[in-house]
Amino acid sequence: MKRREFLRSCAFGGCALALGISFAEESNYTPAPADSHKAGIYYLREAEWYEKLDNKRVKCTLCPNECKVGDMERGFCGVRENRHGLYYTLVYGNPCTVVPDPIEKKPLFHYLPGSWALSLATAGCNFVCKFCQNWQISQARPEQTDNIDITPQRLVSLCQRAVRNPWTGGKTVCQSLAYTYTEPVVFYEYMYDSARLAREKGIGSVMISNGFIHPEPVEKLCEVLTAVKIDLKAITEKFYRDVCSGRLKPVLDCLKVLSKQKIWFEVVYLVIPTLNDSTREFAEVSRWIVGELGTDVPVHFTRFYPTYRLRNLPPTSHSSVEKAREIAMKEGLKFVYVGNVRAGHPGENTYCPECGNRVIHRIRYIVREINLKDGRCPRCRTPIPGVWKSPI
Amino acid sequence: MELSRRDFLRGLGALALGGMLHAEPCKSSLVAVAGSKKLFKGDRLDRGVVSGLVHSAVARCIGARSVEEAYSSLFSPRDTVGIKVNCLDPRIAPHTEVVSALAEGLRMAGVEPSRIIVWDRKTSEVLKAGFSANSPAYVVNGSDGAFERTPTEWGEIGSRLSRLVRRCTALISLAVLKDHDIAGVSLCVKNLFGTIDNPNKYHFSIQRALTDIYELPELRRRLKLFLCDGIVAVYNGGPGFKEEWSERTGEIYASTDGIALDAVCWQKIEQLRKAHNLPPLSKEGREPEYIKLGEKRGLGCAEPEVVRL
Repeated sequence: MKRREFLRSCAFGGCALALGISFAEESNYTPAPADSHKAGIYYLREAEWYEKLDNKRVKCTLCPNECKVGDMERGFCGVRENRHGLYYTLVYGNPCTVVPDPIEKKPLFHYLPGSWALSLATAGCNFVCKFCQNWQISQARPEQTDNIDITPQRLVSLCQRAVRNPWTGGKTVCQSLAYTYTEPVVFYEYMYDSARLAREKGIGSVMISNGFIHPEPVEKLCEVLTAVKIDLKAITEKFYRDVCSGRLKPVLDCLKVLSKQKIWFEVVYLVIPTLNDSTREFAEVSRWIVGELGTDVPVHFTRFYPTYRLRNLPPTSHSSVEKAREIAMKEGLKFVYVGNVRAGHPGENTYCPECGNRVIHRIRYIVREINLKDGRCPRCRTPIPGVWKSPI
Repeated sequence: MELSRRDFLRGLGALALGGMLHAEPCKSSLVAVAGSKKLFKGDRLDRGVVSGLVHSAVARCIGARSVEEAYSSLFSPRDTVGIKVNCLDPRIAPHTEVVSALAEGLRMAGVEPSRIIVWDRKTSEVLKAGFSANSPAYVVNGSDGAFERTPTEWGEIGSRLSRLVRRCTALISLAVLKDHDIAGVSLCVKNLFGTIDNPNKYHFSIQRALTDIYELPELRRRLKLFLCDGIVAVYNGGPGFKEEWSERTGEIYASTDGIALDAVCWQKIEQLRKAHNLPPLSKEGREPEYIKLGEKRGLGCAEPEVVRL
């Protein structure tokens, strides 16, 4: 089964589950007009982070793009629209995919290993990464994707019972909700409400993000999320500008906020041949993480595969991510992984930084063995940082 | 000066396209502006007068001796002609009378009504703007989320084109005369943003992106005619309709050069702004630079000859 078919089947599976849903008891959103339903927009909710300007214009304050949006126009993300001076999110309760995933796929390696996360995304992103693996949905507007009508209440209830799992063919109970695939910042309100409700029911929430968000909204999110993964795409402004249509500094600032907030987070660095794969950059990014975030932050160096608008480059070699890992460990990072590598690569495992004992054995997304005792290495009793039991 | 491979290829492409398509030197671009004081009968448009304005503008802009010759020189009976309208806001969308006149002209060229597609991003938007799904003169359609599978890349542009683009062998960009919050103006070139899936991604580089989309070969080879419905103008606060900044101007603009047409319409917007004590667009940091950029790239003429009818 192709990746796209898989995602689509999951979306329709979720859609079937969502049928017959009752409208929310405590809703701060409203049903969208009937003609919007054809376009897959089922609910409308006023956006949370924006300012009203003159002439019915608005300024979005959610992410550092700070779009100034004229009446009847949309922001850069394509999912927020100015309707006569009020700014609306068009993706609240309208995900385009909902599917259980292993938490390792996010990747989050130090967060409830071996657990499943009900993973969802809506259309839209506040970047344009030329290497985006999910560009068909991240670069789309909500009316261009097959959406599911699913409120936060329904999401949480799906998490509480076993849902069809296309990975296993059986049914799975998910311990977390994962906001992923596209850019969850653009569906902030939906993510926040879902995470808040999930927390009340003892379910965790993890955000898989590019970190391009203003400090205030991310601080508020930290109250309801249980873990975050940030894609640090490079360590140069040039890369962010030329390859992602974004900026580096706000992402670094977001990482500092997460560190200060004491929420569990991990960092992924996608290694792309010729664009961000020099030894200098590996050392620089590692030094920055060590200096600003500490040595305990897990860092994943993953392999790129040509896609979307970067089809002219070869896939990243195994040796390149291995080299990045070696450099990062030399710089002092204790938990450095490689990703998108051949199954069973030793760089997928977690080792005790003190005695070298393998404490978690992984093969791709499958956890074969967890060898931890109360979050410590059983051999030398060194604490291994992470979230090893439900944080709620 | 260092020249990247992409810039080099783009330069070659522009040269080739310049040669293939609108090869006339700048001075030969012509924009016909047709207006009439008899356009309105009370609050209603006089269909016959509108039709006369559209036909005379089209005929004059290409120097044809008759209306039939004008349309026949641009379109053939084998063409499927897309009339790309801008229906973002139904209160400031092309008038149905203008489209009917164009359809009439296309019929003169032998194009069957079933091969005349009036389209924008969404069918619902086109219908809301007053176009009839049951019109005997044309077919109403919308991209409705149907875009090509892979993005087309050209300069700033990395977008999936509407499937309707390839369905059409010829295109007419029919704009309205309006101000735009970011681009400065929303005219025939900006109208082309309705042919792609992700116009929102060009907010921060809109002037270059507008030039690039106008240069996009898939569109360029199809674009035969540019019209602006200037019957009503919105000279500030666009792209949505703003009654307080709108005015009945009663004009139809036509050209085979989209840059030239936009240049003339931009000046009209500036005149209206000045008349209403609004600052020029340059003072608000939103001068439509794509017009001069387009001329620099040889895509059209920023100071064309204007013929008033």
